[in-house]
Amino acid sequence: MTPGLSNSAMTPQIGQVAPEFELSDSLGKTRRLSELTGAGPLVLLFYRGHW
Amino acid sequence: MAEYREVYPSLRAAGANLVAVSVDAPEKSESVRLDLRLPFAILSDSQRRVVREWGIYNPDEKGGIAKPSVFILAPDRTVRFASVDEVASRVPAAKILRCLSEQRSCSGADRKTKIPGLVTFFRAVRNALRMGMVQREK
Repeated sequence: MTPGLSNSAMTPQIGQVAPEFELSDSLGKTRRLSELTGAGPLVLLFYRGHW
Repeated sequence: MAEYREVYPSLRAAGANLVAVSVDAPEKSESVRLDLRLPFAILSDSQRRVVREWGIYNPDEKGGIAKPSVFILAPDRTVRFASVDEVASRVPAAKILRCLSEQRSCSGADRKTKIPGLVTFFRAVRNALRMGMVQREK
C-alpha cells in the first residue's frame, strides 16, 4: 500500500462524489457537507483527536 | 493542525473553505479550537459514523479514532484529492494550498524526500507533539 493514498474500498476516490453527512460543530450547530462545499472547494481535514 | 491556521487566509483567498473533523465531543473540539486559535470550524463525528462510512476508521486506538486524512472536494462534492495516513499526516498544508490552485485533481503521493525514514519519523514526532500525545521535556 502506498503511504498517503487512500487504501480502503470505501474511501471516496478522486472523481467520485463524497457521501453527504450532517455533523455537529464544536458550538453545537448542525453542519451539512453539501452546505460547506456550496461556494467553492472544501478541504476536509480528519485528525486523530486529543486526549 | 496549527499549520492550517497559517494557510487558512490564503486558502480562503483562493475561494476554498476548510473544516476539521475528529471523533472528539464538541466541547473537547471547542477547547482545542480555542487553544490552537483555529479560525475554522471543527466537526464532531462522536458516533464514528462518518469515519466508518469513509473507510478512515482506526478502531485500535482510544476506543476508535479517525485516521489522519485530507480530502479536497469540489463544490458538487466530487473528490479532487484524497490522502489517508495511518498514524500521522504526511500531507503538508502547503501541498493542499498548491492543489487548490490547480483546476483539476492533484495526485496524492509525494516522493521527493531523500531520506524517507528520517523525514517521516520527525514529522510523526512533530505531529505527536502538536496533537498533545507527547509532552516536551521542560
